Amino acid sequence: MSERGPAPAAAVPPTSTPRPPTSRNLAAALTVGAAVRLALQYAPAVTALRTTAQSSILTTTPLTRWSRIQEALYLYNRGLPLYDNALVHQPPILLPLLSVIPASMHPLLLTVIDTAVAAGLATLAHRQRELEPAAHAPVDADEEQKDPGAKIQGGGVAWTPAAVALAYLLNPLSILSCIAMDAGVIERGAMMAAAVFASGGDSIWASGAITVAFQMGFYPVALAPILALIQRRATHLSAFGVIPAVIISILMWNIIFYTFYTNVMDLDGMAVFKATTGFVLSVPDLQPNLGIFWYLLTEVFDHFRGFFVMVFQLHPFVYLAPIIMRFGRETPIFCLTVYTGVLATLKAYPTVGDYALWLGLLPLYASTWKYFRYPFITANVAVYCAFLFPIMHALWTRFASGNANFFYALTLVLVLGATVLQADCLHAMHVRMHHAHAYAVDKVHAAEAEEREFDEPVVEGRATAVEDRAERMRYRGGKGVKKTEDEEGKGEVKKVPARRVEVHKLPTLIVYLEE
Amino acid sequence: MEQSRITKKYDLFPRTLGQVLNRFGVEALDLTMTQGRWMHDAWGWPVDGYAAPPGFDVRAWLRTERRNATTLDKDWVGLTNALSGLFCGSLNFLDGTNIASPALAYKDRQGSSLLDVLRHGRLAREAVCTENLTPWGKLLPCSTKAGLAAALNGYRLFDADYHSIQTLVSITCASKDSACTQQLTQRVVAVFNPLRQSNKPEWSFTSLMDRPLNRPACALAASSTLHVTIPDLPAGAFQLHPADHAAVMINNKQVATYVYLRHHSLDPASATQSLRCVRLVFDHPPTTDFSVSRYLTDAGQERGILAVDLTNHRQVGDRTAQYTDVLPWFVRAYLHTVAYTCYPQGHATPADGLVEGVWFQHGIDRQRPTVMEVQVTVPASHLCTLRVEYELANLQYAEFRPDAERGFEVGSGLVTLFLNGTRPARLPTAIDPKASDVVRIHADAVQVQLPVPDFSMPYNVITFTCTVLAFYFGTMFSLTLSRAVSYRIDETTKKPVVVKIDELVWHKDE
Repeated sequence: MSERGPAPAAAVPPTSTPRPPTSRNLAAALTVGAAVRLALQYAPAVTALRTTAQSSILTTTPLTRWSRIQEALYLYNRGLPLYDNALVHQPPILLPLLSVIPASMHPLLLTVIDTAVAAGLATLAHRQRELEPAAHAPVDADEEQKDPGAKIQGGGVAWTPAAVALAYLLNPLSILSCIAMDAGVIERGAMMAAAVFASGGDSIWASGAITVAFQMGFYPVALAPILALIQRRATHLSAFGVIPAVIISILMWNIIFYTFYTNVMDLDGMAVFKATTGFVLSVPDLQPNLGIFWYLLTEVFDHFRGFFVMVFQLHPFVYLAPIIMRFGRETPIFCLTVYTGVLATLKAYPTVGDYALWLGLLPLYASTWKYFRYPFITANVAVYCAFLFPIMHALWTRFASGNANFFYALTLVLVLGATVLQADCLHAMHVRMHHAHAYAVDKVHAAEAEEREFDEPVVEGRATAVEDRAERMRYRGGKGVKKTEDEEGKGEVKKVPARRVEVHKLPTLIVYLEE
Repeated sequence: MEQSRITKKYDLFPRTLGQVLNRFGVEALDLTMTQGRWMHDAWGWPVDGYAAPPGFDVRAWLRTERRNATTLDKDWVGLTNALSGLFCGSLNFLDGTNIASPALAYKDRQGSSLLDVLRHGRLAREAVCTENLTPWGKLLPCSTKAGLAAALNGYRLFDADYHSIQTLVSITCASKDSACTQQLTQRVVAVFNPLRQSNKPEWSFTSLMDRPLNRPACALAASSTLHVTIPDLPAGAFQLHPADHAAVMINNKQVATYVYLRHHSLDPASATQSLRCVRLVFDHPPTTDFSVSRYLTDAGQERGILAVDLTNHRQVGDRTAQYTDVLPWFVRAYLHTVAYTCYPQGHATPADGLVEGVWFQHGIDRQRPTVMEVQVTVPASHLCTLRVEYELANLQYAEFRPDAERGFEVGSGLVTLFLNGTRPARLPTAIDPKASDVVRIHADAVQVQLPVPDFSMPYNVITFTCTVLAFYFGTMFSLTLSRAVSYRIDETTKKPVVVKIDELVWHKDE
């Protein structure tokens, strides 16, 4: 850990080595989650709930609706052309698998996949302690005392893998998505598989899994560089090597898949591409959903349509570079978390399941939650949306007493809420890492102060800051020390006895990057 | 009226229509302009076994020799444009989104060769008016100046419960590769309700049409005859004037025949009186032994089930029926949900019906409609239901008609019934002996409601959505391109002093 982690993290005592995963708890969590899903999938008493969920526009989209998978299976089993229609938008790779499983077992299959997503989250939570020590560096002595991962505690200590899995499995959104037979469950399964493979250092299978997710929903391809960075944390490879490697390997996987489609399944590759990826890219189906595309494209004048589609499709990808630049090196799994949220908010056909995956990843960073600024607003938006989305949709399409604007306004509220939550996540991560670093610096100070036995501190902030920096540079080693000394007055500062300031206790603000 | 395909003689055949047919390679053509619905259960079987569906309906059998799909499409566009000019209809709106090529229906009505391609288009909402009747009348050799056609009064015709103006071109070939002849049939089908119009059970042609039948027959006509089917009622229940008709038997029905005389009115003696039928006893509504009902169930603005009830009222003898439905592209039917269930009459327990074949073409958005053709067996005294689930698409705001809340018509389904020689007892006179063993019943047209956006919102939506996106963008970028710093209050200046700490993220951690 100390070789891989940032320098101040070395100050963290070795007691924070993660415990082995509590496999019994995890198994119990998975069993509970799977049991809840199976009960809701097969119990005759909740048939109405299942039917509603399977057709609701909140839980499924034209891209992922199970009835369309059934149509594709029907066509596939009879050897009819698969994509000569406006219904099938899922890649053919699913069909050979689904056709050998009896239809009555399909809910079971989705339950297994959804439970596997939870298991993947738990695996990530487990590995994250090793891969992202920076996210777990203590911010104060109190936190350092606690054994991270010992128990579920929101305030500053990480959740156990079992707790992470349980939080996902009992999230009503993920349960709804699963009983709605949303094909997005499979897509998210592929995404989690990719993340787990990447965190284990396996880029080939990670690329394969993300290719499946890409072919199902297109947007997961944005995760490719993040997966490469996760793999880099696990394997110590260079970032300049892993990112192109993952991208090339995704290309290769796509070629393999399309060769399979054209040669083995006897499909027209172009037709497959147009019906799957092309469908997501051009957004021809304007059925309402949680996202921002549908109403704009319903209302926009025809000659601007292409422009808006292009701008809106580019949008989910523009955050990739800044997020990777800021967090990719130390905390790539945090990038994955943030980006899952970005995609859930900005994709063309989002469902509650996309939000469920994002909310499922958030507990990995429970240690940052105490720095959230607007949890009350976020919670309110969540409750507001949960109640009003179904009501407004029914008012519009069923009772004709409200119009489309009611539902549309809610999608805006949801995006605003997601923005606030996303902002809180980023802010909290900034502040936490800042505090952890300050605490590490303080500790170095303390150690050196003891060593030098300074007794009269000087109350001068500037000097302290300069001293901080000098200390840190020295601690790090390298050329920084000399440069700092040159800049700051040739060791003059060092003559002033520095006061030991508890930097991590100071108020923190976020300012724009000045460089 | 006939024309030879080879010689292209236009002695009787109207040149305007004939040139259009030749130009676009049309072997046979059915163009019906209809308003109203043929009430099968009340009126019995339609004349010649075919009641046209409401709206404009065009079926054209196009020659495929030396033509590929592209030239066929081009010819179809040319044909519909020419017909829309000829008949003053909006037939030019019959583009790819609402034309179909049914594989099973109309199989008995092919062109001269099996290679012909049937294109079928329908405008379910097109209204029929005088402007359509006038050009139709002009195709007649004597226009509407002589014979029965002279009595066609548009005001009265369009007041009928059901009226259909039909232009039918068929082709007959003596043998393969020999010269073929095209035959034009022009037909007006109308159902009048004298009770509604005059509040009396007594009616005459004069009262129906507000014009006497006193014009001489067309000089070019080979024959000009009026047939009146005499109801199976006891004598004295009705009177027919003039009574001096020749009675013949057609299909076990007594038919009074009045012959138009060339250069003379129908009959000098009865010219003023005209043809009059006084019905003293109301006939029981003729019942058909097969009824069809088409409806939507579980229907909302997002999805629903399209159901067709086929009922065979006969005690003995199954019927073979073909159901053909052309659904607009925004009604997306699922092939895997096609279900056929039969209920014995009086029983509630269903049994799976026998589906002999399914021909299904999925629709493609804004390109082509869904075409569903199912051949089924309807057992004797059974009610069978054919169901298919559908999902409705959401349209862009410009794709809605001005009265968007009214919904969209989903044409009418067609049931083709094969009689196999078991002609129903009450099938009225078939004037055309070729009107064969096939009865076509158009099931009820249905309407779907699509979710309607707010049409006043385009600018608002663009600005709101883009504002929210800009907020997202700004928040994300400010947070990813910013750094955390600590500060404290300087005791001397009372201003915050920033305490910078380099972040962890840019450390060289190697």
